[in-house]
Amino acid sequence: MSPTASQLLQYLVSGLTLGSVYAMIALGFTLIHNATGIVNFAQGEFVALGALMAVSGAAAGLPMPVAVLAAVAGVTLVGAALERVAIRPAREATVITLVIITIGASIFLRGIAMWVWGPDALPLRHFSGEHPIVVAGASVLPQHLWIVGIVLVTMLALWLLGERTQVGKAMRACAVNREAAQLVGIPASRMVMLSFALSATLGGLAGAIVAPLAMAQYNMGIMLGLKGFASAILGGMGNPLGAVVGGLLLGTLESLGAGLLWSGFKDAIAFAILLIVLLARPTGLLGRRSA
Amino acid sequence: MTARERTTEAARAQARPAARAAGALTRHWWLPAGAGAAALPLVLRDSYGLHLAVLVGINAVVVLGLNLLMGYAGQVSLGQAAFVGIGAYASAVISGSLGLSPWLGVAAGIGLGATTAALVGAPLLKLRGHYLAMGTLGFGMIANIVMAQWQGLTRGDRGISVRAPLSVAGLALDTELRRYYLVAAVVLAAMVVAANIIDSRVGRAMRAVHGSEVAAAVSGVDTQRYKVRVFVLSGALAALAGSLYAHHSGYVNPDSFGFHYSILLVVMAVLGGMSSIGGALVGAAAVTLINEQLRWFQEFSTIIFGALLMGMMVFLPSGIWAGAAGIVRRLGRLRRAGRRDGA
Amino acid sequence: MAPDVVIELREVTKRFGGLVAVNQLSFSVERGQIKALIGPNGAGKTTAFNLITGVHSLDAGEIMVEGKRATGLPSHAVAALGVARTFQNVELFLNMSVLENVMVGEHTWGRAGMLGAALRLRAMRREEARLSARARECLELVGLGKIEPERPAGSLSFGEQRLLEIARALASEPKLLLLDEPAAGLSSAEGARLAELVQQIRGLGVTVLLVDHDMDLVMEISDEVVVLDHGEKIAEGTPRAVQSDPRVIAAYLGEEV
Repeated sequence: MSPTASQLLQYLVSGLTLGSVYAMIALGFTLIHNATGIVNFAQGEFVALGALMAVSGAAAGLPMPVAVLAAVAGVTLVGAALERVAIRPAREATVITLVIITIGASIFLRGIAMWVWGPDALPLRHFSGEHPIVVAGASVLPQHLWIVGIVLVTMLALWLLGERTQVGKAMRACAVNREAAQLVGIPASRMVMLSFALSATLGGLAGAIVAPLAMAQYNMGIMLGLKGFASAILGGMGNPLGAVVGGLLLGTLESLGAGLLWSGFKDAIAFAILLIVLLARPTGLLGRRSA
Repeated sequence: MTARERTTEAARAQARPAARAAGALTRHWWLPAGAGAAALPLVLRDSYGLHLAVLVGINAVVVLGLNLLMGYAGQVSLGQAAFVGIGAYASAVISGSLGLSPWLGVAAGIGLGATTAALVGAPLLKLRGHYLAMGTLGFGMIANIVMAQWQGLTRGDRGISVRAPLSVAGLALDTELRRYYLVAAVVLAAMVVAANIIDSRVGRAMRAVHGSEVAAAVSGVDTQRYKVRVFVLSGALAALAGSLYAHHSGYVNPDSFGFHYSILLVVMAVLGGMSSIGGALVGAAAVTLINEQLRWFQEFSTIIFGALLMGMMVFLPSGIWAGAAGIVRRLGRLRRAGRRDGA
Repeated sequence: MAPDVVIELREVTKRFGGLVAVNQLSFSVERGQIKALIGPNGAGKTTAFNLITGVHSLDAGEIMVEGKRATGLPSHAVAALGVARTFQNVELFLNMSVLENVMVGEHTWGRAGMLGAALRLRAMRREEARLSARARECLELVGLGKIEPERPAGSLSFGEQRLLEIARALASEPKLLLLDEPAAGLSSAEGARLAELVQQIRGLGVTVLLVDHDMDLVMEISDEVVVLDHGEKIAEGTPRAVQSDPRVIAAYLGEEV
């Protein structure tokens, strides 16, 4: 059964939408990795918490924008707290220790999520209705547009942050050369905390905007986090643009693969891509050739 | 202390007791260990305790391989559950679905585990640090997904029942106690083999790769080959443990061999102290027992586990053994200082 | 009669990005020689060692060890050809004992594999005893015979660690020994002992190529000297000839303030 053009378009639409979410998550990984060299296994939990907090906010009667903002703020605090409590005391640790710490953090946060929100998947109202817009045979939901739009705006904001503000430039300086940055008076440890906080912001926002489509559940972070990481590696770990490209590409490939090939193996696609990239070109599509 | 100083100190701390031990009775440590293992059932008495002991033993076999890989050879694997699953499913399919001899299943499991490790390890072990960690993670996830999706072979989420027991010399191992003795024997044998390997040309080559890969290479060690070898060994051990698990629990299902179990195994290795043989047993016992106890806390179990994990790694990064030794040393120093100032 | 050449570099070139670290370097070392590679900092001396031992890959040129092609071989294969080396920053296996460090040097002389090790077969135990005895001899040779062999390698003093690294290198019974700044960080007494040791090593039939900044040491024990500057050979000859070579003086003076 060969796919029609509109079916392909449909896969593309969902692929790009999902891809933008992956891109945001991937950016979170890249931010922390650039600032600290650590891979933050708890990144996915930021996404889950963002989704869940948005659900709570909406259930409490808050208007959707406020609920989303409150959720994002909440997750940002969690990210900052995580850095302060678990990462800073273990600065000098080995790779495996840091990996386990962030894994421990992800388990902890997941446990909290399950305790507070229960094990079931919770729905979140679409931001502006569920009336699909039909384009060339493919139906695009308003939520799809919200997701892509918000991600684009966030990317722009990040870029402005990095190029035009003191804080942003300081963070970039720290990422490039920590010692030199400290020499010119940039407080490196505060930058590290900021990177965790900002990466949590991105994760939380990603969760809030995808929740209407995917529902919010305490364990949604595992797969999303891993796929976000795969996107970052695909695009080139350390390169923010790479994170975006990787995310979009991974989302599209996953959507096409699941639609055209085997849907049961959908999750495996992301991991297969991860492995292929790691083995064939570890620096990713756009990554700099690091030492 | 810088990271480098801490590593040196940890290495010295590791090498010193090793030196003492080598000269002392630990030449024949397997005697008291074997006696202890044989006598344990008398202490445990109920079958739940025995069941836990068997679980600890099975985990210990996997962790032994992981210790060799991570502690001695300096690599990392976040996908070890995949190999356990391979062994478990080999046993389940061969003795369960196909009705053939259970020992054939064990042999097939080990062979398959080793082969998979060789094929996967050759490319993966060219990676280092976080990339190697993620690569093994990816492999583990894919393996788990295959277990769940290859319905024709594994029956997916429905799982496979394993009813035919292993038998030794005609005696069917169909009671908790008998299976305990088999597992205890396997653990002991695995520990002896691991100790033998560590203190040999092969073991030195592996440890050299960890100590300084470039120095090992210029000394004639084919570093890539040794990394793959120890990965294969760890895969074989994990598969063996998987077969034992299949016959012990009587039921095999993809959920048991996912990311969560892989992480648990790494935690056991690190907690027990990655560079020690006894540490594998200690870590396996500690985590398995804590995990069981946490069950009582139900919804809090994950929270507590996560918090414990973070706490342990922040405060005792070199494992319980070394951590406890460190605390004792520090207390000794404090006492001596107090005595100097006070009395 | 052609001289018995242990190692020959032909037009060896290595670039790191835009920087040419070694540029068409050619020289050879005859059997039984003690030859020194000197030059100001950044001249490419350690890079040359890294190229010989397969730590870096060449961009151009050939390296022949006893007539056999060593170009592009991985480090362990170069070691199997009979080349051993020490490192500028002493690369010991701190996670192992003194004796074990030396025994790793004997890796290519052992045969025991995983199975023999796992089962502790008699052949393997015999081999271990032989390797262990030989390792102790190497320790004795470099002057560490009095050190407890089970001590962790990290517990030795810096000077002792340097000697341990040399013992490990000698354990492989090399045809050629590369010493990368062996005298760095040593006291003058230790340096004098080192000079004696190098002569002893040559006496055992091992050819030596060394890099060092200690000019007294180099001039005292070397038969010939190769001078590098910015990756190129600018002089080669006896120590005395090279000392008075105006290009050499210029290169060093140009570097010092």
